[in-house]
Amino acid sequence: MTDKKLLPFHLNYTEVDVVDKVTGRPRIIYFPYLSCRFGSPTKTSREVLGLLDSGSDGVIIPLDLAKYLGLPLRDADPMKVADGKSTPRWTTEVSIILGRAGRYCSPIDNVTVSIPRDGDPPILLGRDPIFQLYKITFIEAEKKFLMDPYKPK
Amino acid sequence: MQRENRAAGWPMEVSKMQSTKEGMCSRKEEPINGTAGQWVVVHRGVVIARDDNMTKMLQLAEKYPEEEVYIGKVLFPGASFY
Repeated sequence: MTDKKLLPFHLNYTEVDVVDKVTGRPRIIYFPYLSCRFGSPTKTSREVLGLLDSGSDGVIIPLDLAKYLGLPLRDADPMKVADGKSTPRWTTEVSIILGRAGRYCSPIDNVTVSIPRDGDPPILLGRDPIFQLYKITFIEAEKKFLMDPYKPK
Repeated sequence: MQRENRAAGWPMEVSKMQSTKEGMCSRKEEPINGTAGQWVVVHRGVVIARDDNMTKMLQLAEKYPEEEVYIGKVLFPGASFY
């Protein structure tokens, strides 16, 4: 993956104005979302926002996206989650193109991603491969994040 | 400057591309808004559709030029995952 064209990204967090389902109260929250496109051998999605998540070992996508791309699903060992419980999942391989509005990196091919069997998770961009390819700095106080391609010393 | 031309076609308030000293761009758009858990389609910086079903949003987004549209999820307050 080292010969890929990887672009730097210095972006603001995305503002999300959300209505709480339970209380009905509006809230404003900010998330470090990065645009990317997911591809299979037969189809590529429009851009989707993935949440940069250093606490996630890898990339997680919802089942709807995997089905949309026509990806084959393989049984896999359950994911261990932060509270120690296990979540059943499938895995598959995708291509990921990071970038936005015509400013795209080269595809990162054959990325193994997890698809939880339950729930409808957001897209999580975890350490493998995103944090392996980039030096990522979160400036939480300014609601910004900086991604610079990692260059081995 | 293809990027600047594209941005110029957007409403001013939703597409203020901010150059940094490194020559990269940051974006400032209207917030994503909706009910927690919904998927949204954003066209030219404006939310045009919301649904709990991501597949519907993926299919709707296909109708728009790829450089003008994206799909996001309205996360709930205090969200943490896995």
